[in-house]
Amino acid sequence: MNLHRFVPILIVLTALTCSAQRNTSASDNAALRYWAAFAQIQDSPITDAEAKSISAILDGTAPYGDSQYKDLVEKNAPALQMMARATKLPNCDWGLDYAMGPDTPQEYARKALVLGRLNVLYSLHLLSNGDKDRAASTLAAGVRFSHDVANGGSLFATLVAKSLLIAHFNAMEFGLRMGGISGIERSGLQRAVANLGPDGLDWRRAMQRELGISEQLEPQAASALARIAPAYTRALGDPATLPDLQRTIANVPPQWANLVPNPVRVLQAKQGLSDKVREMRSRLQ
Amino acid sequence: MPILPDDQFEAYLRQFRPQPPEQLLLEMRERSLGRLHALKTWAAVAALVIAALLIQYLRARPSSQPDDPAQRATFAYVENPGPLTIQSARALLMEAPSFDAALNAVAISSHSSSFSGKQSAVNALSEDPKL
Repeated sequence: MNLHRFVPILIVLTALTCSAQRNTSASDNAALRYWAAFAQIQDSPITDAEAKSISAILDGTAPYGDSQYKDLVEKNAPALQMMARATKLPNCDWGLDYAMGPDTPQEYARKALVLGRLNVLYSLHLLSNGDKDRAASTLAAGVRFSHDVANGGSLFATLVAKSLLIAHFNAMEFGLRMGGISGIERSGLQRAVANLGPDGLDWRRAMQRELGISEQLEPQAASALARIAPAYTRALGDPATLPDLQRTIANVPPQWANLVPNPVRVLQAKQGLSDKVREMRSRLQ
Repeated sequence: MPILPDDQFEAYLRQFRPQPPEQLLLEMRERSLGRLHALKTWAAVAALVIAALLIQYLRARPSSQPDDPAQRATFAYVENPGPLTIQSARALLMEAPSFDAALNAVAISSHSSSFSGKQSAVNALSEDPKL
């Protein structure tokens, strides 16, 4: 083929491919659907006692009373169903513009916390009404959603995701104890928990982002944090290196060391979730 | 005026009594200036007393900032809710006594809807269960 004809055809084909890819990635982005679900969240009045009871239910220390929360969860069923459908999409990009540095918005994490907890209550509502299939699929969707919340996020989003995963695990345990989840439903939950990986969330990437954002504050802080970042990620992989990390942090001027999240707390949070994931896997066997 | 005999004229003159001389204008000015200075001094003293009392009152008044670090972190965020950013989330993670407390602090101000004596379910859901 003549090269003069071939080159324009190649350019047109490349442009069409890129355009198609862009359209596909936008329509396959679960985060956009999650935002639509956030917009559908419906509030409802509850008493102080009911508010306290919600906390205990999410913590797994109090039984769920359907008469108290039925209206709330049913009102929010459309938002939760939209969220559940979105969890089946392969990609979740919250579109965080880290070029904004410390001003990068985190509102999505706050809204995700509410929607995820509503999902836990919805699964308990379904379980208490004997709808085991939907309860299990709601919990599996909640696990995928929680994992997506941390996707591409900083430490804060990862902590929100961890809180949601544990609340869903507590609901699963309740379902298993009551004999409400068995057979096919159980295998769906097994898959969802297995897909989380051993740690449940990617703490290393979250911390790299967290410390990377700090680098944009000022050049001297950047060089200080550049020394800390590798030691931090190493400690997350191997907690035995925590003393090295603590020494590195101690050698940095306090005004920059204060930008570094407490590694002991982060390791505790990571370990707490890993333990819970392992426990949940064995419960679902 | 008719010309009077001497004795009558003398009697006429005796009607008059010497008056004490009037103060000079300059003296009056000095006095009013003195009064003005005194007034100013009193005003300054009064202002100082009021300021001292106000400071004492403000110090004696119980602080609206809670003692508990978790509540303080919450308070700080609720006082200045603004949009939640990496920076504000990071500040909460640093200040709160635990990560759970930080999540709670962020959640409290997320919805301000009120239902005549009842709570917002969305607010309750956004509070951390561990607190």
